Amino acid sequence: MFKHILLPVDGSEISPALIRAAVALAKETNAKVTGMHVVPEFRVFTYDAEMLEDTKEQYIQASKKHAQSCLAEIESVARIADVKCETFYVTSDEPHEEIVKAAHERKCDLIVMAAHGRRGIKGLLIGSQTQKVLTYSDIPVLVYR
Amino acid sequence: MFKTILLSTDGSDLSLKAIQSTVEFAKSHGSRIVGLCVEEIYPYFPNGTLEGIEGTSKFTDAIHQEAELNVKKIADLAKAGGVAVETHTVKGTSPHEEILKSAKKYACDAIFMASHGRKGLDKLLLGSEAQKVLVHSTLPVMIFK
Repeated sequence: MFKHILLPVDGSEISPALIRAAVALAKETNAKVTGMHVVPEFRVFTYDAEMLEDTKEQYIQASKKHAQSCLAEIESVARIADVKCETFYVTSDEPHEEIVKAAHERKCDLIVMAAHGRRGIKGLLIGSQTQKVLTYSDIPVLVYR
Repeated sequence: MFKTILLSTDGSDLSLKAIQSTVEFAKSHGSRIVGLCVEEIYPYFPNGTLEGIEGTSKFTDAIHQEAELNVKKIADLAKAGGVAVETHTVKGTSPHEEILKSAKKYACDAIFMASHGRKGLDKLLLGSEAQKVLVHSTLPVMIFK
């Protein structure tokens, strides 16, 4: 039924289970999975311009590594299950915007995401990004806890 | 993927869309559907109960009839799609609570529902009942838009 699943991950502890579930779902109907990770923008914490350049560079490198490791997990689970998969990451302070945009641009027909991410009070509320994706998405969203 | 899906409807157009999508999903993934419509009892009575107020049975009967019609829609579409289905109506003042209770009662492993119902600002916000189901559910929730 769903042919192209968008799977945004942020590397939080639910990610492995979420990835397995999304890939299992895709497997049942030969759907494709597009994994994505949104890296937050670099934030300035110092007034020292020299330090800033180094710090920014370090941040970009570290974020890239983190993104790649999150996405590598999706690729590996998909490969083992023989599910068609591609992954990408973007930098933005509004993950929900990137997620809805990606779903539209890549013609996905389902978004699978976690109820909470790294931030927020677990067990009390639904994550802010999940909330916003649900508000702005045109396609169905499957929310996992 | 999901063996038993709790599908909740409130008779709205968006619910109908959710029913059609759920039947298609169940067909592709070999799931069975437990259809539910919550008969919302208006809690706004002077002494907190329905006692002593004339015409209440007509009111509650009408709501019951409507709920039965709503779940019949689920049964009809599921049967037409060759999907195993059972339906229930339940009285309650809190739709999301009844949905969650029913999901547990009927051993469902996912809840499927529309993002909005009859009330609320379309396209701007997530419906209040879908919101509450999401926040309190321990099961995965599929939200149809």
